Amino acid sequence: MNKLGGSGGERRFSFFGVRKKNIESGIQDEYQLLTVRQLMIRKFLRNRMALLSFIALVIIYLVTLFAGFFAPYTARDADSKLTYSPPMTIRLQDPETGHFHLPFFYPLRGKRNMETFQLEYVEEREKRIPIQFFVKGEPYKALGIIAWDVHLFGSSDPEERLHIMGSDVRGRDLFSRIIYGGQVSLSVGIFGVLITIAVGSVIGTLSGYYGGVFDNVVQRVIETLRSFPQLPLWMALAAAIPPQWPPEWVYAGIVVVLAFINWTGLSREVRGLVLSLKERDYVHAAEASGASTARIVRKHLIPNMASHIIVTATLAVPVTILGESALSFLGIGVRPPMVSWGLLLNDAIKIQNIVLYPWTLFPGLFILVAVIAYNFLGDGLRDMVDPFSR
Amino acid sequence: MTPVEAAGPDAILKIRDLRLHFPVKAGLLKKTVGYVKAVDGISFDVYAGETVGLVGESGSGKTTIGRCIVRLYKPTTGSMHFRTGAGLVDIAQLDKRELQPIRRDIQMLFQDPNSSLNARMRVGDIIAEPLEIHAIGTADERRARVEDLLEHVGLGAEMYNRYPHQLSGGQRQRVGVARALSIEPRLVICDEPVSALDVSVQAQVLNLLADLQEELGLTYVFIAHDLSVVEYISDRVMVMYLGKLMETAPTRKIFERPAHPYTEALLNSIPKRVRGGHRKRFVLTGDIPSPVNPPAGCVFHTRCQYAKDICKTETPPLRTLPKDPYTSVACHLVDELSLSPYYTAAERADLEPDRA
Repeated sequence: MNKLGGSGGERRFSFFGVRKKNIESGIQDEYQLLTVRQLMIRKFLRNRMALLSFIALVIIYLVTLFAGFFAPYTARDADSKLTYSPPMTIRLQDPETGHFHLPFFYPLRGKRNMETFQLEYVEEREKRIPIQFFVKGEPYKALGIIAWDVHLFGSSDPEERLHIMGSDVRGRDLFSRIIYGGQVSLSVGIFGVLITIAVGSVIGTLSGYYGGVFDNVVQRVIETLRSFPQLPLWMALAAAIPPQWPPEWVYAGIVVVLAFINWTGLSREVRGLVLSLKERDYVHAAEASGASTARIVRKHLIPNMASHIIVTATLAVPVTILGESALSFLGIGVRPPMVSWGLLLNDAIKIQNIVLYPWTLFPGLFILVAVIAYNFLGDGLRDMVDPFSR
Repeated sequence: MTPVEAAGPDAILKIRDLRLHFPVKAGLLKKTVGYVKAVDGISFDVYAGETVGLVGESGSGKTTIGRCIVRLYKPTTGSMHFRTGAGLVDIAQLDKRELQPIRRDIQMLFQDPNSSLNARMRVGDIIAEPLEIHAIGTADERRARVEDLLEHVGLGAEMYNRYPHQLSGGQRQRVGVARALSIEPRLVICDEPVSALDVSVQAQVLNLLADLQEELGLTYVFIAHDLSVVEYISDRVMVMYLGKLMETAPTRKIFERPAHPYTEALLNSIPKRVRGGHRKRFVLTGDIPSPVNPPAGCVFHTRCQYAKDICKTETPPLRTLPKDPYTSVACHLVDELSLSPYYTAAERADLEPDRA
């Protein structure tokens, strides 16, 4: 390299010298002392979309976890005077006088259109109802145990209900129902993926580590399962859930049905990882020292696979959420009185409902946000898994 | 180590007719269509306290032998008698449980410290792993021993909590050495322990290995393809080709009077400047033949410049030379050939003061 000679070569040489000096004077020292975990966190924080998605998901999960507090009404709270009411506008300014007020809304009054027989809603401008924060409302149980009746926001007049995302056929607040529905939709994703991880990684590890007949059988089973179109298979399995089961059991059944196909993908990924990891020299070193299989799996395979499993699992959550939504939308998923986003979308199954009550599509927006956020998060985690790459 | 001691009766490891054939499977039903003869009938002894160099090209089976000795592979046939407190034990066919006590005595040092150290484990935990596996000492005792080992291999106890990626290549290999030595083995299989390191670091690690051998009375089987490394560290050299031994001889003898054409070819492949330019030499061409279908007769005849008809039909046995009891050669033409040495007598004389 330095034999090339010439002034250009010399300059380049000194340039490297300067850079090396900079590295030596501290930056590298600091960098060298970072642990793998610290490197991973740095890498993750550098991916803005993943970070944003992570924050969004944390917020969505917190809101659904404390649904009773964040939702102005409960999921079953109906008002027959306000069926299919459109979303009410939250205002700061009086449209007539132009004066500004604290947030308020005008209540809606239904009027039958005698030509179309449609119920049409108009704002009652005479009555300005302020929106109150930490308002006392319907009692609920926070986290299922603590009885409370304070809601984050709501109408200050219990007689005049506030539907910021409209209401459904029985006058139930759609926004509240979406928050309660999130409990089901989002937890199906988590529980489904937990089953996926448990089954997929155990079977994947066994078939990768031992190979042979077991591996052969498992791979053929996986190929068979995966060669079915996913949705019809889900539908067939969901239809097999006995209709007399209580809703909680049906919920558990749906989780199992959704995990039934997802584990195959993860188990293949884990199998591939095990196949490559078990030929690493550190595994050989452990074997040569007499380590048991359990120890090799625990100390060498799992720590090196954990991050990959987490990434795959994160990317499997939106698939599960979509699966639950699809089944519930088609009416073979979770059953009322449980609420889920797919079940809520079931209101929009008829084209006339979409035309007349377009707000029934709001749950779809939430599915969209959750799925996109999970995908970005999974991408970010994937980058993070390999902390040494640039 | 003098040749007299090396030929003495107290071998720590006696390998007889060792073979390892990997089946080659093909087709839908995974029928065995042939065997890769990675190790094909090898016999040798390893004596306590010596360093045996094992050299050969890639694919000659030298790493496979190493892995057989630590029983990462189970040999197909043959015996490997290892000297334990209870006499010689054939470790070739022992099962996992029976091997457990033997594993304390035989350890392996790997080629590439990047892949032989688990990136998710701290240096201290890596070195302590063999101790943990064999349940030696309490956690505190193990920690003290690991810190002691770290000092011993020239790293310093403060490395205990580092991760492998925070170390340089040479430091990582020192961690590998510390791990191999943590349970006080008697025999260490060094599988090209310096080939992945910078030249300057190679010397440091070789010196470390030599110092530790002296201090702890270790026995090394040193696998390498770099003859200069082997020359530096070995007492005896075994030259392998295609799963068979071609020549075994004391290190000096190999370099001064090679007896097998393959040894000569290997020596010729070391770049060397002689007065007035590059020396003319015979260089091996082509690749090592497939071990699935090794050539008939002498396996080396396809690339041997001296090959005669007999070489193509009859396999030469490994024979001890009548005039030199420490040298064994597998060649029909051993008495006819006069092969060119790596060092001439004059060059050796020049070097000799340096070696003293």
